[in-house]
Amino acid sequence: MKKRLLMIVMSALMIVPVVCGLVGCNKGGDYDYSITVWVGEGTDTLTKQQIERFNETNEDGIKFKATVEIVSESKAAGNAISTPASCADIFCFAQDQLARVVHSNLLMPLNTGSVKSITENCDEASIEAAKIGGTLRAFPFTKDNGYFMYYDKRVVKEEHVGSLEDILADVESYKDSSGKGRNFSMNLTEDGGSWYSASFFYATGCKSEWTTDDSGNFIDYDDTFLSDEGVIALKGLQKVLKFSKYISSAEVADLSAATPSAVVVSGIWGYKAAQQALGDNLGVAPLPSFTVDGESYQLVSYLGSKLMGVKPQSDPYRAAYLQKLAIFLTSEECQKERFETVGWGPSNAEAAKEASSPALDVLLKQAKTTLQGQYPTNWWAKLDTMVGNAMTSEGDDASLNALLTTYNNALNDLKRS
Amino acid sequence: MSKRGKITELEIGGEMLPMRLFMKFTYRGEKYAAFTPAYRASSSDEGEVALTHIVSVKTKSENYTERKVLFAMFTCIIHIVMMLCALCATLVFVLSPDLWWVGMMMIIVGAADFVMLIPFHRAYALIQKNQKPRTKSRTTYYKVIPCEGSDELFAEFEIHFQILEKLSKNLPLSMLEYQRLNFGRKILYKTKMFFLGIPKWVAGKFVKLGLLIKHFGVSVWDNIKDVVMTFKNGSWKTRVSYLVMGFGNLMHKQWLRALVFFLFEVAFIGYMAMWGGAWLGKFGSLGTIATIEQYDPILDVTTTVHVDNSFKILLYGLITIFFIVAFVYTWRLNVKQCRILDELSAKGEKIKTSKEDVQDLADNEFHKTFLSLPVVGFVMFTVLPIIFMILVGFTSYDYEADGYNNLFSWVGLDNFNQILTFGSKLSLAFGEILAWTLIWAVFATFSNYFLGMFVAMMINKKGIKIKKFWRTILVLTIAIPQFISLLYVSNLFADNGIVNATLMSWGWINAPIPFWGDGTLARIMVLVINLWVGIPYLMLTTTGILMNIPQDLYESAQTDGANAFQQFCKITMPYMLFVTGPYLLNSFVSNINNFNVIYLLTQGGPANFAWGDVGGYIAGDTTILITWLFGITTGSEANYKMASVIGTMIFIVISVLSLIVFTIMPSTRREEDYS
Repeated sequence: MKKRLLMIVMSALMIVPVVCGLVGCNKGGDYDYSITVWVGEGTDTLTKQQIERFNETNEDGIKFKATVEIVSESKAAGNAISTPASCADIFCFAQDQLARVVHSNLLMPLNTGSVKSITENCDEASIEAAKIGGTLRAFPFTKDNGYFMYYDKRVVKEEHVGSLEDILADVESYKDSSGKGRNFSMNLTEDGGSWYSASFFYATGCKSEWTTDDSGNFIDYDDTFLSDEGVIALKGLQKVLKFSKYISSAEVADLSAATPSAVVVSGIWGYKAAQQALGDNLGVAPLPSFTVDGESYQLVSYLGSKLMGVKPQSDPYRAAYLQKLAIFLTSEECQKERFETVGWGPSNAEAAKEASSPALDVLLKQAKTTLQGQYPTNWWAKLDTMVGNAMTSEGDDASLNALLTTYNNALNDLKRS
Repeated sequence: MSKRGKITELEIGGEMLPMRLFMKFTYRGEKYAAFTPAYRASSSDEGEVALTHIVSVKTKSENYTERKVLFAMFTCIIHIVMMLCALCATLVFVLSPDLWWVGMMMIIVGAADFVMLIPFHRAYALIQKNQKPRTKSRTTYYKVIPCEGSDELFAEFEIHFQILEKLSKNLPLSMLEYQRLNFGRKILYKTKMFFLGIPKWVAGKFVKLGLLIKHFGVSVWDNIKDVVMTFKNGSWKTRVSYLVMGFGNLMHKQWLRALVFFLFEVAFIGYMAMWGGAWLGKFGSLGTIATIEQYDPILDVTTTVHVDNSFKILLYGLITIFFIVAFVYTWRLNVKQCRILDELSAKGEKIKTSKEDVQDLADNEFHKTFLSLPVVGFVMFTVLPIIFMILVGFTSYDYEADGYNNLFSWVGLDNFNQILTFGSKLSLAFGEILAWTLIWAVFATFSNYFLGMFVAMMINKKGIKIKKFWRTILVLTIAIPQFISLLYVSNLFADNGIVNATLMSWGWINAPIPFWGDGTLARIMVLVINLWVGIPYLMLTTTGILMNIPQDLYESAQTDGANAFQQFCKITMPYMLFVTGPYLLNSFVSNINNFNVIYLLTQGGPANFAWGDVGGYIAGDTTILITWLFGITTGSEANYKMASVIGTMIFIVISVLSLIVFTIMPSTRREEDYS
C-alpha cells in the first residue's frame, strides 16, 4: 500500500511541472506575438533592448515577445535553408547568400512601406545588395563586409605597405631579438579562401558577374577569368602561396601565435583582437598592390552588406508587423547603436556619416573596392579549387591557363535554367 | 645416365627402366619406388617387382674444378658491378645530397660485395694452380634393392597413391591424408582448395537465396491457401471475423483477444481514413505543391502557406506502410485463431478463457510480455530510421530541394550511379577516401592493439619498478577529454604552432614542417597521435587479461625450452586474440567511424584540390568516409542524398567486414581450446 501511495505521489510530482509549463505557455502575458530572432555575435543584448523599445514606441501598439538567439551571419542562411521549418522569424545573414535564400522561398518581396524606408535611407550600394532581379527582398543594416591589412609596424615599414613584394621582403628578412621570424597570413586555400583570393582577379581587371531571375536562379554569367589578366592574377597569387612564411588563415589571433604573423588580411571584426595582440605596434592599411612583369596591380577588396530577412508568414498581420519591426531594427538609430557597441559600419547614409573608426575608415577609403554581387554557392568552391591547385602548379603560362580553363569549363554547370 | 639431382631411370635386376613407371615416396625416412598401378595393370608379367627400396649411392663428382671456375667467373662479374655501384654511391653523395638514401642503398650493396669476394679468391687460387677444367658431366648411380613384399609397405603405398590421385584430380583430402603431406604440399593444397571452392561457395549462396525465395513463396501460398480454406470450411463466426476482427474470439468468449483485435482494426481503419491514405497517396510523388503565396492588398504583404512537405510524406508514408504490414499480419493471426477455435470446439476441447490468457502472459508466455515493448521500440527507433535514411539515397533531397520550401522527389538509382560511375570525380574521391578509411582503420586498430599490449607487458614484467607510476602517466592522457587534448595537439603542430616555432628558434629547420599541410605527413601524424590517445586504453584493458593467463602454461613452455618470442606467439597471442577478438572487431568498426581523431586534428585536410569539390565540399587527404559525410551534410550545400548514399556504403562495408571477421574469429570457437 505504501509503495502504491509513493508511486502516486511521485507521478503527481512529475506531472506538476508539465501542467505548470502548459499553463505558463498559455498565459503568454501581454504580448501579441512570440517571435524568434537570429542575430550575429555581440548584438543579442542590444537587439533585445531595441525590440523592447519598439514594443513601447510603435504606433500600432504591437508587442513582440522575442527570443533572441546568436547565429552568426555566415551560418544563418545555411541554417535557414537546410532546416527551413525551424528558421527564425527575423534572421541576419551575409549578402552573398541572398540569391540562395530567395531561391529557397525564404524571403518574400517587401511591402511598399519597407521599400520606401530602405530606398530613402540607405546608400546605393546597400540597396543593390538587397535586390534580386530588381526586387527588394531584405533589409540592409551594415556596409562593412570587406577586408584589409592588419600589420605589425615593427616588421613592415610604413613606406612599404603599398606593395606586396616589399611587404613579403620585410616579413622574410625580419628576425626579432630571440631570432624568431614572422609569418604572412592571408586565407587563400582554407575554407572561405575564395572570398579573399578573388581580390587578385579583380585587381587585374577580371570580372565574374552573375545574373539572377526573380526567384534567385542564376540564369547567366559574364566571366573573364580565363584571359591574360587571369594568368597575371594567378601569378600574383603564387607569389603569396609559394612564399616560405605564408600561412593560409584569416585569423587575427595569428598575430599572437607561437610563430606570430606580421601581416593578417582580415575584416573589421578582428580589430579588437588585433589591438590586444599588438597594442601600439598595430598598423591598419588598405590592401597593397602586386607587380607582375613590371606592371603593378592594386588588390581589390569586396565590400558587402549584412542583411536582415523576414521569414514568410501565413498570418498577414504578423507578416506586416514583422516588417515594421525589421524597419525599426535597421533604422538610423539602431544602426548607430550597433556601430557604438560592436563597431559595425552602417548602411544607413545618415548613420554612416558619423561612424568612424580606424579600421572602418581604412576599409571604406581603400583605393579600390568591388561591390559584392550574387554568386552561385558552388562558384566559391570552383575558385577555391583553382587557387588550391595553383599552389602546386609550375607557374608557367600554359599550366596556369590550364587551371583557368578547368575553372571556366565548370561555370556552365552552375547555371540554372 | 641421369641428370644431376633428378632420377630418370631406375636399375632393376640389371635392367634400366624409365622413372615414369614408378611412384616415389618416403616412408619412415627411407625412399621407396613402386610401379604405378597403371603400369602394373598393363604389364603382362605377373611376377614383376612392385615395390623397390631406393638406396642412392652418389659417385664422386669429377667436374669439381669446372664448376668452381664457372662460379669464380660469375662472382667476378658481380664484383665489378658492385664496385661500379659503390662508385655511383660516392658520386651521388657528392653531387646530390638530397638523394642520400640512394647512396646508402649502394653502400650496402658494396659492403655485400666483400662477402662475395671470399669464394672468388678461392676459385682464383684454383685457376692459378693451372688445373684444367674438365668437360665430362657428372653421373649419379642409384642402386635399387628389390624389397620383399611387405603388407605394411604396400598399404602405405596404396594410401600414398590415393593421395596423389586425389591431388591431381583436385578432390578434397581427409584429415589424416592431409596430415601426411609435407609442408609445401599442405600450403599448396590449402590455396588450391580455397580458389577451387570459390565458385561452389558463390553457387551455394545463390542456391540458398533461391531456396529462401522459394520458401517465402511457398509460405505465402500456404497462407493464402489456408485463408481461403478457412473461409470455405469455417463456421459463420469465422467468416464474420474476416470483416470484423476478433468476432470469432468474442463468440468463443475470449473477450480480451476479441477486444484487442477489434481495437486494432478500428485504429487501423481510423488512421488510414484520417491520415494514412493521404500520406500513402502522396508517397509515390513525394508531394506536388510546396507553398501557396497570396498577396494581401490591404496590409500590402505576401503570405505563404505550406502545403506538401516531402520529408514528412516520406516519413509518414513509410510509417503507414509499416502499419499496413502490421495490420495484414494481425488480420492473418485473427483468421488463424478463428480456425483453431473452430477446430477445438469441434473436438470439444477446452478453449482458453481471457483470465487464463492473462495468466499465461505472466507465466508460460512471459517472453511475449517481456519482449513486446523492446521489439516495438526496435522497429520504431532502429529499423524505421535505417530504412528511412536508406530511402533518402533514392531521392533528390539536398539544400535546394529541402522538402519544405522546394519539394524533392524520387530519382531511382541516380545517386548511386554518380558515386559508382567509374571515372567520375565523385567516384574517384569515393574510391580514394574508402581506401584511406580502410588503411586508417587497419593501422589504427592494430598499431594500438600491439603497442598497447606491448606496453602492458612491459609494465607487468617482473623487475619493473614503480609500476603504478608508469600506469598513472599513461592514464593521464585519458584524464583530459579527447576533444580538448586533440584540438590542443592540432594547434601544437600547426605551421605557426609551438613545435615549429621551437624547432626554428633552435635553428634545426628554416621553414616550418607542414605537419598538416602535406598529405602523407598528415596521414602519418594522425596515426601516430592516435597511438598516443589509444595506447593507454589498450594498456588498461590488456593488463587484466595478461595477468589472467595461467602462469603454469609459461612454466611448462619454459621447461620445454621455448624462448620468449615463442611463448608470445604460442601462448600470449592466441589467448589474447581469443579474449579480445570481439573487442578488436569493435575497435575496427569504430575506427572506420572514428570521427573525433580525424576531424579534431585535421578537419579532414589538407584539402585535395585534385578531386575538386565533390558534393559541394572539398575533401582532403585524411578525410575518412564519416568526416566526408559530415562535410557534405553540414556545408553550405547540405547534400543529404549523397550523405545517405555514403552512409549506406559505410553500412555495407562494415557489415561485410564484420561478418567475415566474426566467422574467422577464434572467440566464436570453443573456449577449452585456448585455456
